[in-house]
Amino acid sequence: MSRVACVRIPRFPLAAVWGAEPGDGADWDARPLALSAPAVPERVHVASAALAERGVLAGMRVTAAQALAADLEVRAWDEAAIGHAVNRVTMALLAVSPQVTPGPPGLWWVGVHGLSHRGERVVGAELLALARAWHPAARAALASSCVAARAATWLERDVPIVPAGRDAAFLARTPLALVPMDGELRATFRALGLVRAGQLAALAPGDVEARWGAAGLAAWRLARGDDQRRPALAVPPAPHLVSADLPVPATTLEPVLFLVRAALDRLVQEVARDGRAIAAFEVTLVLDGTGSSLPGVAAPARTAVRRVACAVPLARVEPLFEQCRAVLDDWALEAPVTGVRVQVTERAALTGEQGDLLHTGWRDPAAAEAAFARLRASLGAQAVVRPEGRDAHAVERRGEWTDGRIVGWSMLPEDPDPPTVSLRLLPAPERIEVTPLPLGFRWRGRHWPVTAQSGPERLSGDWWSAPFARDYWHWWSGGAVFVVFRAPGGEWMVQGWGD
Amino acid sequence: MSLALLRSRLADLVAPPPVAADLLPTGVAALDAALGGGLPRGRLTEIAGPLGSGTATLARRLVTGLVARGLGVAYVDAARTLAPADWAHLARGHLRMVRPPEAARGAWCADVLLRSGAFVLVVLDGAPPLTRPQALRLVGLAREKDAAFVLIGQDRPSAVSGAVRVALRRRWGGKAVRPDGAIQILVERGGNRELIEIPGMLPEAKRLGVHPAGPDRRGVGRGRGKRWKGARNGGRRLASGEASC
Repeated sequence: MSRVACVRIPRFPLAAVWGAEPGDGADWDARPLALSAPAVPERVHVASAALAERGVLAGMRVTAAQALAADLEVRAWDEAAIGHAVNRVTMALLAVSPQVTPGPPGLWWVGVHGLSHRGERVVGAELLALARAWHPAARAALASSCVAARAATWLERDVPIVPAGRDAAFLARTPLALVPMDGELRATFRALGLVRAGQLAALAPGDVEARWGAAGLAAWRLARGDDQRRPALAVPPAPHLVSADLPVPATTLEPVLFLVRAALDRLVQEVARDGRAIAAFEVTLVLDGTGSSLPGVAAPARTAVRRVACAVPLARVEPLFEQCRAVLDDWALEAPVTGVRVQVTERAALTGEQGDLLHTGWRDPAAAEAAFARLRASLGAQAVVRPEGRDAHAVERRGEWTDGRIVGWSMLPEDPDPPTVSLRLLPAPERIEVTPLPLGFRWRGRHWPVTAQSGPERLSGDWWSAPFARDYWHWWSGGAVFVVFRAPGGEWMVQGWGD
Repeated sequence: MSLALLRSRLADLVAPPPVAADLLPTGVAALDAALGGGLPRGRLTEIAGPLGSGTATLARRLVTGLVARGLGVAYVDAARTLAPADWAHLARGHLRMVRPPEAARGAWCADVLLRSGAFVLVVLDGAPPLTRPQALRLVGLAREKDAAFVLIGQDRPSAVSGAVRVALRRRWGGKAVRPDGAIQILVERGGNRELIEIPGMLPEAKRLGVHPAGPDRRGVGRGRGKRWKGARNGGRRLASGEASC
């Protein structure tokens, strides 16, 4: 008879999304953290222990949860981060047994058949120690079936062991909620008063099949400990890595980029073959070590690593390469490059975004992100911006250029297109010399005769931060209308013009 | 109401004719008609005009229309003179502005944006005059990626064959001392020249202070008294010796 261990780490998706590391304890569980549901983002899917103490439950609306915990921090379900963390735990459990199968996030089944020479309690303790690196309340249990092992993790003992052949007896006392089945079927059983697995197992199989079909019969079998699921051999994911050596050390990045592109081409194909996309990758340059200070002694080869994280997982070479260029463009080489290594560090599910074939204007948003990333890397973070309205009186404070990655809240009413002429503003108002008769002004070395004017219009305010009081005029000159003002000191300034 | 304005209003009301997929409507019916349906994709369009001739307002009209249709637009404000408040209505759209620290980097920004193939329109506004190799390279990218490339504010033509040129000028008819909001546009396309006039294209704001709430003036301008005398003149012709400074 085979033996199975179940390892359960409570609220594991929270640890994954908040980037907890094994050995850090479970500080995250003492904070008011929650994850929203993947399909229903307005509902809480996983809540931390701190939130549970305040009455926040899974399935509750986020707004209702905020009413109970004002300092609630909610993040979206992150499939990539959770998958990455699950993979890390799976790899750690391989130290105990080669048969490890992850279940729902936070649950692993480990095949422990054949490890009896070490003692089941010892094996269970090893599994528990590995799991408790993530959370002190993690549990591990052993049984002859997956369903019994999982149910045993809910017992208030460190490593519960269900003796071989005793699964049905153990399950008879456990709540029916611990037997996996369809939600509708579970509700039906509950309505009929079946609350323990033993009550379902006591029914005649013919009756169960006649009433609830194959799904009912499968649940009946599980309730009796008849579970055909077995942990399989865990295959560590192959490292998606391409490395190449340069025949001649390169002092510029052009040959490096050539190799990186070829490597990305191959990696994208590999990853896409598994139905996955690249979420992050690393570019490692192997630098020539001959620049040693000791004559005749070659220094060891050095490496320099840059990590590229994509805003959205990609399985297309062009935008990935553009992101890569953004990182490599400003890379000052300390020594000639002798080799290049590109490794995929994070993968994510490939989305079904295919664009709209009937929409001729459809463009790949990932390509836009890559182009903007390159501009930011080269020109600075403030080079790519969004216009945002501000609730202010001063002309130069009515709008602001904000970070292009953040969609700000506009204080201005939504308008398809402002009804007035667009203003061009100088970075800072420039002083002008005004000639009174006839009225004109000298600006940037040119005389501008004023043919008409409108004003004055006093604008003032902001006494609490940057007080100002200006008398504004519109001056028509040379086919343009200038926005000029007279500062409190009496000097005349031009601030912009209508264009 | 003038006949031209009436025609313009009617043109806005009547359903526009179907637009070819390789043309981007500018949002100005008369200009679209002169351009044969809109800005051509895969080619260079130069929008030029003297200071204050309405290039930014025309660009804003064009960009607003395209963003509203969900099309990807990138705008390089190389001169860094656009006022963000005038473009804030596009904050939640697809528009992102690129404002390089130096105007001379504008051409490189346009190069990166065009090469990405992610935009149907790339606007380069206020960059120094492009050299011929620069212009040819950018036009080549626009053709390759099927994007419209618009160059704004260049006084002299870029000498790229096949470019569409749109020259703007405010109308100052007769004895007027200030423009009336109308705009004259000279469209040069494939050897043809057409002059059109669009009334009401550049309506001036009556006031600068458009904030719905009155300003809080505590602590500012205290004790300085009134700086001006008399009523507002509302933009009338200046009489001799009337200058208020």
